[in-house]
Amino acid sequence: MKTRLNKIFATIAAIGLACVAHAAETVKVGVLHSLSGTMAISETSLKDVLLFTFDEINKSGGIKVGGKSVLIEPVVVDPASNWPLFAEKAEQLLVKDKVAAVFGCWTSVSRKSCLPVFEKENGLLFYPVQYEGEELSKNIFYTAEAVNQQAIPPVDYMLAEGKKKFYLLGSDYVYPRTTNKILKKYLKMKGIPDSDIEEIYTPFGHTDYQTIVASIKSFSAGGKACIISTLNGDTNVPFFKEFANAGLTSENCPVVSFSISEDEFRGLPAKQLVGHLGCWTYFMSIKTPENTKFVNDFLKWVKAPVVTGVSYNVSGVDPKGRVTCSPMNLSRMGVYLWKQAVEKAGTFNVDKVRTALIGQKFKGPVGEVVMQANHHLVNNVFIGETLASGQFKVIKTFNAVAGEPFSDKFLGK
Amino acid sequence: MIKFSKLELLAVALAAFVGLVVLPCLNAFVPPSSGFHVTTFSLSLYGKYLTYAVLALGVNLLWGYTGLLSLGQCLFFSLGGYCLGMNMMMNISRLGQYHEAIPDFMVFLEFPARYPETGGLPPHWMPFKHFWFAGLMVVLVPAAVAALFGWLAFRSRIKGVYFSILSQALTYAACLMFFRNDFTFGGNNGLTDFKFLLGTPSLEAGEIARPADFIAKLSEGRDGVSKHLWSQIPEPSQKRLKELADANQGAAGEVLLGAELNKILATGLIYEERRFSEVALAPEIKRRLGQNPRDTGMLNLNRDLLESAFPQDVARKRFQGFVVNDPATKRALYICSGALLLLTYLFCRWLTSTKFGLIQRAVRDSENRVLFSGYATASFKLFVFVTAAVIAGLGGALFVPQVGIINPSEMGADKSIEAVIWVAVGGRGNLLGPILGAIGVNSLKSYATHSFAEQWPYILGGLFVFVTLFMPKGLVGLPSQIRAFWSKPGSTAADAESAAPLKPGKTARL
Amino acid sequence: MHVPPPLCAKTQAPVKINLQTRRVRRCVRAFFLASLCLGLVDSRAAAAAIATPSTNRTVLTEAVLAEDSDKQIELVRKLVNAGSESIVEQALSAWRLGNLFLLETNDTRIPFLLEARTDGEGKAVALRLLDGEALKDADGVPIKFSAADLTPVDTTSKLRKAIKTTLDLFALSSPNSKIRRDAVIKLGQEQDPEYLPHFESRLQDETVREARRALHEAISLTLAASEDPVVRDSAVLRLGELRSITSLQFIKNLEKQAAANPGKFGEGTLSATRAAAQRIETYIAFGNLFGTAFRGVSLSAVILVAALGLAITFGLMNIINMAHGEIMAVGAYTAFVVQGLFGGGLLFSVFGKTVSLKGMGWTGGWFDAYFIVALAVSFVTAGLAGLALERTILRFLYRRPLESLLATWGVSLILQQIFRHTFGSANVQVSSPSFLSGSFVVHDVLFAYNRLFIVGFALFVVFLTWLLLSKTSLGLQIRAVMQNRAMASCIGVRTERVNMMTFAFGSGLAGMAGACLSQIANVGPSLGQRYIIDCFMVVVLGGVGNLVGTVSAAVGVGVTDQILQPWLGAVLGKITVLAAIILFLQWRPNGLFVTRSRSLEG
Repeated sequence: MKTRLNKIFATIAAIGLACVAHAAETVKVGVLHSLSGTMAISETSLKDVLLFTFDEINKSGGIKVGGKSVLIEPVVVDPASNWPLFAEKAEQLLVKDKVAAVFGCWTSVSRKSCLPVFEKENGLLFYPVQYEGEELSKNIFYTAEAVNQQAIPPVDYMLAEGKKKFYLLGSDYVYPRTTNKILKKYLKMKGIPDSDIEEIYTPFGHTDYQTIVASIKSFSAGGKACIISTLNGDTNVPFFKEFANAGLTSENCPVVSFSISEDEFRGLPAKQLVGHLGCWTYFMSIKTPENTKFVNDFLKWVKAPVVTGVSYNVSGVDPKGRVTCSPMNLSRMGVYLWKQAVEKAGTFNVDKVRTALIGQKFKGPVGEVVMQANHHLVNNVFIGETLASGQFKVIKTFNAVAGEPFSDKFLGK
Repeated sequence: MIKFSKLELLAVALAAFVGLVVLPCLNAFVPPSSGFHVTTFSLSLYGKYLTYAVLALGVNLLWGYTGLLSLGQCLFFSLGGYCLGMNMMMNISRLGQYHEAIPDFMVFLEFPARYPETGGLPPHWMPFKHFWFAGLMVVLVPAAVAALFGWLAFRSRIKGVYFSILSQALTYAACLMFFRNDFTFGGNNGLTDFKFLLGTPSLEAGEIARPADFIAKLSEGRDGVSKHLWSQIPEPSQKRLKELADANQGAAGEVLLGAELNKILATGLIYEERRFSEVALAPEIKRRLGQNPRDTGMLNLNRDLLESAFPQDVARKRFQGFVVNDPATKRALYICSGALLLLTYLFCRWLTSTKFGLIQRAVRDSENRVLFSGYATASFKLFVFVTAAVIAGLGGALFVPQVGIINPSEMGADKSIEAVIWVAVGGRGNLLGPILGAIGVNSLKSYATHSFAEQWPYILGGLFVFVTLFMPKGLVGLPSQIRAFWSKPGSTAADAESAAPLKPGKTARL
Repeated sequence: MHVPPPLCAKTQAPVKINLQTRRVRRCVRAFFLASLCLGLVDSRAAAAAIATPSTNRTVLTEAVLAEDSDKQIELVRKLVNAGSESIVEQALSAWRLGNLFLLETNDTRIPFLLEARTDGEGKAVALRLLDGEALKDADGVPIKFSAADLTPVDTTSKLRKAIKTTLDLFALSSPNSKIRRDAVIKLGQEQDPEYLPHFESRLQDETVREARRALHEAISLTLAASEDPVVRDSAVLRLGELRSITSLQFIKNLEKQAAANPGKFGEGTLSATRAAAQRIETYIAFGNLFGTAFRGVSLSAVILVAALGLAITFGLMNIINMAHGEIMAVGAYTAFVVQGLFGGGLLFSVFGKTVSLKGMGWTGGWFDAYFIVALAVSFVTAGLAGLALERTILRFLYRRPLESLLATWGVSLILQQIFRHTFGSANVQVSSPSFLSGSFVVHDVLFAYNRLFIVGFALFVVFLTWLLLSKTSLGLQIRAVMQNRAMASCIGVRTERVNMMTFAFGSGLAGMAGACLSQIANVGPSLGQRYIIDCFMVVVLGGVGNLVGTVSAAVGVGVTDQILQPWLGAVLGKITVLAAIILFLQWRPNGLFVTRSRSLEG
């Protein structure tokens, strides 16, 4: 009986505390990432890092608007890797919850499905994942890597390494097709004949790479070949297992993967991937004080995840084996850019924040980024080599590359 | 004629009245501040559920009444959606990212190089410019696919689980096919970014009479309207337009000018009193100006203003269509979905109460006996299959403008299974169940993915298991189950299952 | 990394270096080095001899420390004959992989390696490259570092190539013939005349056929790049005789050049290249044929392994188990857990609480054995999961088979979310034991060990199932119950128990399949979703309730898919297979093998 009474008191006290916490002004912010279905594999980490960032901001006093501190209250929804549901959830966030901004989406199709909603309701979406470009909405800020920030640099690097044959391998959807189309054009500009470029696609969730690896083996038999892979995260395991078992290594045929970051590495046989390349605007292994702090704080946070100051119950955060990666960093920087813009505009009004966002600078973990008028970032680009530990070692850095969504701008019509 | 029981008539009429009249009125006429206001978001969400309910009625017609469990109904649903979606893609007309006359994805995938004779439009897209054709295809395409597949399947007497798995293979194959960019339906991204339904107010090809002269007129800027329009065109385009006009390249000039003018028409009202002082405006236009219209109204008005200012240059066209994201359009789509559901309900009610319906149920319960009685069961099944496909196609056609996207994952095998589950949850073999199931499960899903983002699969999964185990007749069977439970107090859960045993003949056997 | 004791041992006084450090560049944090002392005191050394670095080690250290990368490459090349000294090989490969570190202070730079054995904090003893001794601080306690805190010694890709070449040359004298062969092929590609003497001397002693062939090929390929037309032409013809696929590209290029520039190359080269190219291409065509056959068989085995459990639960019991894929995932996750228990332990969360399991910490062969254990354990866990599913849900649904589809769909939703909340949303890593990594080549057709294993495993499982169903009394009862439940019950078969056992067995098979397929695909919450449609398709195609049918259907689908893939690509190939299945069932509406029954509506 006594314990029950205690429990009741404890509950009342907790509610009281929550009310006190509520006394601080809060602003609702939407998190639109799939937590179930096929894309949960990648998107759950972004939800985690967003909640972590909100906690970080709330701990340091929230957003300063008009002389007041406003705490961020997350509204997490699960669009369940279902594209029409993305549109529904986006509208729900904007109309029902009246969130000030939404952070979310991974696949291009999910973004395309919510785009009309954001335009109609005049919302703000921050999109953090490398994508094919060819789109520009006034309601979306693309902190993601554009094609000229992710695909062109490693190809330049491969050309400089003396590679003459390019095997473009991708999953059969828009991002790989578009990227490869741009790359083919680019390679042709650089004098690689059509006969030395092979372009192959596999369906989503393909598990059988025997034929493809056999063809890669003969493609690379004469040496000087490399693979540009836009396989999406999940199909990389069967591909690399087959690749390694066929006796191919990074020495005889390096693979540049655009969709493998540290987070995807957690499910990959890292030892078989040593020496292959990745290209991102962030690597966990880069040693700067800001990055060390980010990584350490995040790893500490996942062990006891909370969002300070608001009554939001964090659940479903995996505490073990966590890493940080580029989409996570870009997600986090998106929140900070938005925060700064809100503080500059002195209001959460979307039109004013949008104007304030342009030209906003933020010193991220691996260097300063600037939001351009085309809603893409100026960011540092790194080419990294994979190590057996599942980390990347930076082998080349391109400073301040301006993101450009439209390929005719950097390739010419 | 259908014979309604009084209760049923009352219920249907009441539901139809609330759904088709009350809710839209609450949306349109009650101010948002009122507690009774129904938001456009909610209304269009309900609209989506209603299209799902239509799909569920189709599934039920097949499964509940004929004993054919198709795991590929979403293929027909998506095909209907794609057909209408194609028409809406054509209506975007130069308001896309690239401001070209063809949909964005075609520009990017370099279709102009593949289909030079049509300016980049694949030939099979051409007739979809007309709404009537698209509307016809919404019915014909699913019907044709269903007829072909059904003919093959029923002719060789594929039944039971073979039929289920085959229909799943069909939808899976179609899904993979549509994923391919080369299949000309937008690949993985599908069709999206719809703007108008039933026409487009923007300038289409051939609507500028003499492009070169018109460019010259605008660039000279003698009147206020020309001056304003020219000033809104970005400088590089101005330069290019002049070059084209000087070189007398009308066609190219029209494309660029059309694109620029369309952009201007879509951004804001071009009217200003001083600007239009020299233009004689029809009184009807003046009246509309006073109403300060938005969305569709604004676009329409802009178009009319342009036509009045340049009667010789711009072709007259009365836009009868709708802007997809307009609240009024959403409301209309909702009402259409409701009406479609009502019609489907009445149709199914009629069909199942005829002699045909009797045979249908006989096929479900013992196909061989029907066969031996001299009926060609294959034709019956084919007819039902095609009918269900058409119903699904119509549902899909209304689904797409309301959610704003159609892409291949809607054809995935899991989506079709979900549709079957709605029917099972609601209760199959009657007409109310599927509607209840589709609306109920989807409402729950909408609610739970928002309020229990991490836990909702447990809730929904648990529900499916629970319903299958303890409510074999679904939601509609609940009252009779409760009655049985009261009359036999103390019966346990397992008993409840055996308390409502399915008569052997009633089981849809594998 | 284990470092063997130094080979040469000469007496030398212990060297004591005091390092006063304030500024430490990049490598090690300063506080580690306060009054750091490096000692060479080791029990053996103290007793008798103190190690002297071998010449090779000195050269290696010199190479690491050299500022200029060309100099580094030159020094690395010098080490060609040091293959017998395993430390050199280990250090070089560590360097290449970024496991070689540098202790940098004001005036000294000491390259070192870390021992493979790590302590609880993930730290390991540092071993000096020069002599293999542990780095020690002033008190003579070995310093430990964590690899994550260190920055590896820089390498350039050219340097790595040079290291790899040197390692390859070591490999020329490796006791393993496969390693020798691979190295020869790789070096032959370089077409560097410098290697010719190495090849030729190796050819004197080489006895293994494959390696000899590789040596001949490498020599000819190197000679084919010669300027001398006589040498070149005969080398090209020889390559044709050897059917050297690796040189086809080179020969074709040469052919093009010869055709374009007959003056320089002469008629002989042109005809020689043509003949050789044609010969090799014919050979490739044959190779492709056999390759496709093997790949087809291997894909068939994968499908079969995945579908066999379903053939029992669906085919025999008529339960449409949509959670079949998730039961497979149970098996796959079991493999992951067993791997953790054999290795370094694992963490997972149960209902939000983190559970930590301590591992055995085994390495090498003992660790590799985890996979065999995992296969057995996964049979048990998945079987138990199946048992639970059958007892709690499915036993109520035997009379309503189609509805089992709905209930199990719900179960699959729940199970997926449980996986997500227990093991995380990301894929987990199930490593390949060394005996399943790699491949061997017969006439240029690749046979990967893991693929062969799956083929063998499929045969084993099919045999096991056949044995159970047709040679045991349980099998007899299963068949009786499945054919006519009521009748079987009447004659005293305990149908409840048989149902339970059958479903558990089918689920167990699915679990083993999951564990087995972890070797070729990823292990994650949605693992099951990608097999489920194929599995149902194969069972239906084969004829529900017929094991022979399932096996033949799997082989049919697998081989067809692999034959079509090179022509149509993976996507269209798959669509074609699906269309073919639909059309095939028109012809045989009950699948390949029909289970005969007298009942009309069976």
